[in-house]
Amino acid sequence: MSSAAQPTVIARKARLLDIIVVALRYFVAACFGLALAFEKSNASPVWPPSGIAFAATLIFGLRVWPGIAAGALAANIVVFARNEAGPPASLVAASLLIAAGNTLEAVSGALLARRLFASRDPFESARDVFKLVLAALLMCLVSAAIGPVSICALGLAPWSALRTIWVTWWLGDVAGVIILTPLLVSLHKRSPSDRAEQRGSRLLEASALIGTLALVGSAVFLGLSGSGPARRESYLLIPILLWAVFRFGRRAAAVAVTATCAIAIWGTAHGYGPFSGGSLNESLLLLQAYVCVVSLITMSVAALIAERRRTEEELRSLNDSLESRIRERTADVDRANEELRKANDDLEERSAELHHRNEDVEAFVYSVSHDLRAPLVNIQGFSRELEMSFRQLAELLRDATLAPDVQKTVAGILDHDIPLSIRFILAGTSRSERLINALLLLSRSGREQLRFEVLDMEAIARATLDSLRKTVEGKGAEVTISGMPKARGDATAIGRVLANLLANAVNYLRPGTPGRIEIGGEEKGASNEYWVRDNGAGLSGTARGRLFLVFQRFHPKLADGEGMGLAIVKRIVERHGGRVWADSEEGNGSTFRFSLPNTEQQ
Amino acid sequence: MPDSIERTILVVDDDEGHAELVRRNLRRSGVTTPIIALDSGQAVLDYVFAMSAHELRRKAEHLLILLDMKMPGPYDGVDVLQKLKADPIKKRIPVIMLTTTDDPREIDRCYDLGCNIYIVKPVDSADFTQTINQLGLFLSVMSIPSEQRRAS
Repeated sequence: MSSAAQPTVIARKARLLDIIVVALRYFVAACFGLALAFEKSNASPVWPPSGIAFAATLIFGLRVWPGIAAGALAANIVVFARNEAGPPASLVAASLLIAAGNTLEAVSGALLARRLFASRDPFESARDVFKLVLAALLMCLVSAAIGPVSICALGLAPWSALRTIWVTWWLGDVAGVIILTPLLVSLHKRSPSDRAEQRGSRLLEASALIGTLALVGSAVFLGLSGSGPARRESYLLIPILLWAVFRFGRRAAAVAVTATCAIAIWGTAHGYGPFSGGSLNESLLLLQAYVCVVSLITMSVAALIAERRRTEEELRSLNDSLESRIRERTADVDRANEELRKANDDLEERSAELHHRNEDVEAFVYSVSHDLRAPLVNIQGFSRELEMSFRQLAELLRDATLAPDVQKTVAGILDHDIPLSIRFILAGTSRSERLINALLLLSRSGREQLRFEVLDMEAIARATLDSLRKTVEGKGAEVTISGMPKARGDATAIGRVLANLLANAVNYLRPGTPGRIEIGGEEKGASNEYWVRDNGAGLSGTARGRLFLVFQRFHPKLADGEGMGLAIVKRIVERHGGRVWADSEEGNGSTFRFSLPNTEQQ
Repeated sequence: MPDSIERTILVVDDDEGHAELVRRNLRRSGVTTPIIALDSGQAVLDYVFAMSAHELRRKAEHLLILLDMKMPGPYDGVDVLQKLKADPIKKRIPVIMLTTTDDPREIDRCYDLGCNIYIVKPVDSADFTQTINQLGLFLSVMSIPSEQRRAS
């Protein structure tokens, strides 16, 4: 057992004042108990000081023992002095021994209580009521073992009376504990449920209860029904006590029980009521049994009700807090959802805005390219017309007679200068036209709808190679395709990517070196990487930075082109969520790489 | 041409140079019918819809329209096409879209609206000449509906 555990109620250190108060109360209660004693006998059916002493140890702790001892000694001395049952020395010795027994009884009760009562607030549950009974029966053995034996040993009573005295003593103490301890403890400490009970009480009903209790109590125990075996009436008190329990609560019930017991004891002791009439011993036992049973029934019912009320209260408050917690959580979740929705809307809005802006740019490029085309038609068309007109003019002039030097000059203009000028005009416009066409293609590569599907990259690469076969064979290049994992993408767009990269590789091979081009790929985590590697001209470091910008040409002497192919490649790959880059060294070939989502990406 | 009914080709293009190039090349390919150049959507709609009933009867003129798509003004080529093809009588007038636009979506749209032929105007002069020459040859063998504007 751990001494740190202090279940015994009400942790409050006993102060000197408390000790004195306990001593006085004990003494007064002892006198009252003697007043309840049977006439000319000293045998009290209830020994209230036992209950007071036990309650005091429960309330103030073990340190009140001096108060108990002092009160008990004083009470015993007074009792023996009044009875003059023996020589003063024996009386004092007996008083000391009995007082020691009483004190030990309370102390052992308190120690027992520490073991038995788990709650900081005993007598609140029905189980505690029965534990109290057990504690009372055990602890009162102490006093009953010491008191009667010392009385007989000191010659104050015959040994033959020991058994009777012992039983009376023991049961009297037990009754005192059972009746008074719960009353005192509950009076000392008001629990919240007590207050709730108090609020429900009504003055009128309380008066009716008190009146009924007084009337029935006196009628039963003060002889209105006569004495003798008609003990049935004593049960009439039980419904009244239950009334007190149900309507007014534990404390009121404890008071009512105490009052009932007091009336019963006083009546029986004075020869009235259902328990009188037999032998002293018989009356005593009957009364003690009655008092204990009534007290026990009332207290356990009261404890059960209190327990139920407390449980209801807890359930209600639990329910309330649960509801409010659920409301809070729901509000939290709603708030979080709202924020999430807003963030999402925001994102969608921005994405849509970006998309729109992109579309605007593409549409602008498209429309401008178109408008740029129209004048070219005129320049080219009318250059042709001029060409034809000059040809006609030349024919006419050939037949005309002109001075030989003029003829020579005219011939020079018509046959050489004019056709040369026109050739440059046409060359310039067709170059412009190709640039515009490339711009249109780039704009379209950003605008056209992509249809995503699983792509057999090797098949696409082979088809691309087939479409460029003529160019490849013309350059005498050797192309290998191998190890390309499947990817997700738009077949046409990816075909265009491969065609651009392959065409680049073929176009920029070094003249005189047999071209070798390798197309391959591998899986790299969430995406796949593909490459087109050549052993061609390669690129300088500065060129690499501008590689994917529009209108960039790095080897204008090797091949025609508008410098748009890689920009289109970049546009397409980025629309697939991938990226494109190049490793290259001037004179040492290039490797163009691009990544694409693998087949598991959505 | 044996028919007594006169044919007229309307070349609708906001770019006079284009219209002139088309006219010259059609002539070179042997097209002899009158060719009238109009420079806006409004002009062609006025020409087709604003003739008096008297004129209609007097002039038995059958039209064929070469229509550019992008034109400034309230009606571009697509609007003109839409208006012509929505009219129960005028819809018989053959409309040939002759334009620089090679966007497949635009081509689809024009055929959806009922254009008869869509030709992309090549920029390259040699291609342009060749295309218009072929068109001219085609036009000279092409039959044109004879009842384009009978009063309903």
